[in-house]
Amino acid sequence: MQLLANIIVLGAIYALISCGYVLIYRVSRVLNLAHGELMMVGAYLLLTTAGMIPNPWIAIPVAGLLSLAMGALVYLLLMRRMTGESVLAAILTTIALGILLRGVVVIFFSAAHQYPSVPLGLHASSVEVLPGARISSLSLVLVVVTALVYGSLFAFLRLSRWGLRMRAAGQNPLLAAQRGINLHGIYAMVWGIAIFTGSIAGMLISLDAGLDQTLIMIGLKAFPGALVGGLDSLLGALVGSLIVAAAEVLLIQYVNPLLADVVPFLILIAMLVFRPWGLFGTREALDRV
Amino acid sequence: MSKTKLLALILAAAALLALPFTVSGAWMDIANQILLASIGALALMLLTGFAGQISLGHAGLLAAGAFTAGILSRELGAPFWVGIPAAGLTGALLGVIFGLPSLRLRGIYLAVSTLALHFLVVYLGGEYETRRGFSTGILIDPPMVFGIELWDPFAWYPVLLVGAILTYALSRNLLKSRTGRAWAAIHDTEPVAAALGINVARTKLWAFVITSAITAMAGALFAYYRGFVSIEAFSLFVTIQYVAMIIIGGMGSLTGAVLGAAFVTLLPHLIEGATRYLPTGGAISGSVFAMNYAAFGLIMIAFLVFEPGGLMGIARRLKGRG
Amino acid sequence: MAFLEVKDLHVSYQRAITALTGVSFTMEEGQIMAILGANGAGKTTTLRALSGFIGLDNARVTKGRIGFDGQDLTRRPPYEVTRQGVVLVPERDKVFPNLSVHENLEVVTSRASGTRRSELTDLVYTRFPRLAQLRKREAGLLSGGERQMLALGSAIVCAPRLLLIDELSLGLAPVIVEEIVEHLRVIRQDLSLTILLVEQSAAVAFRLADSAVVLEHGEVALTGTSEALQSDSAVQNAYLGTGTEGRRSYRAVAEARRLAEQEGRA
Ligand SMILES: Nc1ncnc2c1ncn2[C@@H]1O[C@H](COP(=O)(O)OP(=O)(O)O)[C@@H](O)[C@H]1O
Ligand SMILES: [Mg+2]
Repeated sequence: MQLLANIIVLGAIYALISCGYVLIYRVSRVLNLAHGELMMVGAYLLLTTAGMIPNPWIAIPVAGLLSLAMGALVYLLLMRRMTGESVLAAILTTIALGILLRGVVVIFFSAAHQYPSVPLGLHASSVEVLPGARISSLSLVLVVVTALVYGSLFAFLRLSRWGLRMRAAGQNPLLAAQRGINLHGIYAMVWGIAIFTGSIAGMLISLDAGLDQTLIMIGLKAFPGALVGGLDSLLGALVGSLIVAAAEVLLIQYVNPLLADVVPFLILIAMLVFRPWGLFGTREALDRV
Repeated sequence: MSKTKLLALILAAAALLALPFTVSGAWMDIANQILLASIGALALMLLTGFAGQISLGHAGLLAAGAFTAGILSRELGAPFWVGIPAAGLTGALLGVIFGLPSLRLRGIYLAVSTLALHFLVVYLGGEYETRRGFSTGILIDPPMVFGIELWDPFAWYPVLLVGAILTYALSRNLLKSRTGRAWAAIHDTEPVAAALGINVARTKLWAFVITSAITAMAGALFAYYRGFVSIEAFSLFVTIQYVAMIIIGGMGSLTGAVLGAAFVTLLPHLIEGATRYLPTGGAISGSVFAMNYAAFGLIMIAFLVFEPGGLMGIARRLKGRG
Repeated sequence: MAFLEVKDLHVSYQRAITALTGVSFTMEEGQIMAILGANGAGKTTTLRALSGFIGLDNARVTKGRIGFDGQDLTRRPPYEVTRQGVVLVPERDKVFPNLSVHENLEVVTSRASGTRRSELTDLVYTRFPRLAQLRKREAGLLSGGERQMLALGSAIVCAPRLLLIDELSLGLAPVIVEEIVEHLRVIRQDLSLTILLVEQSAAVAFRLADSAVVLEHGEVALTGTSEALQSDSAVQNAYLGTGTEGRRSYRAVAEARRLAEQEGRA
């Protein structure tokens, strides 16, 4: 039971992060390898707002909005220039951005382990969610938030006009532009949303476990979930994250704790060998890169 | 070859030969690091800049070579002349593994598959370290090369210089050979290459095998040079540094790879030098590491966005104007 | 000033391959004009340059000017051009395959007001009743003819004033082409559209168009009204394949005709 609870919590963490990879890839065909760093910056934004406004109901939404703006700005100021460039150039630009952010974060916030929960006066308590399975209250919040985020994303993409445009731009950017859709607006929006969801994940993790650069690795480890499910499928990201989380929790428990950092990538390799387009992805995605 | 080019070549050769007699040990060490980085960067340039195959697994390959040399030296007392070829062999084998996904995958899928393999190699290295109780790394005795014990940067310099020059010459010849032309063909368009009668799968695998073997040998040299191997030294950041070298140097140019290697190796020293002259020098010296990251990211972005041709692109433009 | 004025248009791909080298022509409002020419002559490139390139195309207008209704449309991105009322029906990839028929119409973003949009959508469904039956169908599952209708329909919802159509008849059975041409005629009346169309099939082109431009190797080789071009035996020989002399270059045709005229004058 405890294992099941752990799997669900870890799966929710990965899922909340990996939907950002999927959104950006699905709409703009860019793999954002700075996602981990950007979500870390999001968490540091919370540390900053928490320092100024010690009220979680204000500090968290403000930091969320700031990270939304940060995502849009990353596209408008940087990634926008990479449209039409090679796949490699776009990936490398995100990697370079990640390196830049790692440095900037240490310069401004130091490398020390810090707790945004302290100024906000939040204390995680332990809750019994299943018979015999306890998780921290913040983990419970995280699971609920992940469910909410996925619900809203599905609704947004299926039902809203902007979601429709995003799907169209993802399928055929040229035709979308010819049908009057401003691609830069769409891409800025999807970067904003992706970084917003990633940052929410970063904030919730750091409220629970504190904040330092290890958050980046969590961000990177969430990527295999997205690929296992299929890089262009949101449902895939959810299922893939749960699969990766299950494998990770079980292997750590029964085989070797040192495996923690490598399990997601082992699964990724297996997936690339047998079904590179993922469980729910479309096969064409392979040729479109 | 034009007269000016010949003159430049002679000057460069003279400078390289005179270097050990004019610089301090610290600078000799930096020069050696540049030579080491050049070998790895040349290999990556062949793979990405010429054969068009993306790889984010470079640090993993360096690590594999370094560990091969380290393990052979530590466990079996194997000498330098066994360690280096053994590392090359390990690299070639890993090259097949790294290259297999490329038969089916392109673009970002290939990038992430090599990235995943990096983590796998790093895990295996870490696992070895803990299992054998070398949790802080493996110590390697200074190797004997032609009867000389390589124990300081000055002794190493000629060996690394020869290694770098050999790699450069080998790369040049490769590019002129059939293999090199086949790489150029698959770089441009695979279907066309296939139509020209080129075996695309074999060409790609060869590209991975050859460059991985060179990279692993560079990793082994690095291990011998440092006298110490630890998996800590092969983080993802190392991969990024190598990718940065070929970008900053200029995609599709061997000279660019060497220039990029020099630039990236020197950068931290330049930054350290610069912070010393800043009025707040003392205050931020604690975050020199962070300054490095930030500057490195900025410079990489600047090249990617404004000068995709890299240093070679700048050089070509200056020449065109002059 | 002409409704559409294309002047000395040069386009190159990947900074190297020049596809157009100085294309000029003008159109008046209400006209239907055809661009003819062999494969690779630059017809698609001309329409694409009018509708705007995006970064992914790796194509660039290197010289020249595109004027539309008093505005400069040169090098403007496609979404701005579309919102100005210049709308392209592309040669291929003309619908969003994973969106339903209705979503394909709905996704369009234009300057038209909400009421105008629903009027136009209704018009599309009235004129193409087949689309109305298929509203919920994924566009990727449509037949070639249905897909062409949907492509036309989604262009119509963009509220075009100048419609650019690339290869209306490509890959479609003659009966289907017939049907679509009829629909297009009616819609053109409804909305008093100006149309610039690219055709491989000169027969189709001359049925719709009142004038034509013939492209060859990225340049304009001939222009004229449909009647003039059709009755010109040189064009028939070179292009329509109805003459007796076999195929020749348009330029050679134009040259031969010029010589003939000079001889006649002399
Ligand atoms: N995406 C592209 N990249 C490079 N060259 C292209 C591209 N598209 C078209 N061309 C070249 O431009 C020229 C004109 O092509 P196009 O406009 O498609 O001709 P048409 O539509 O008349 O058949 C051809 O020589 C073609 O090879
Ligand atoms: Mg065409």
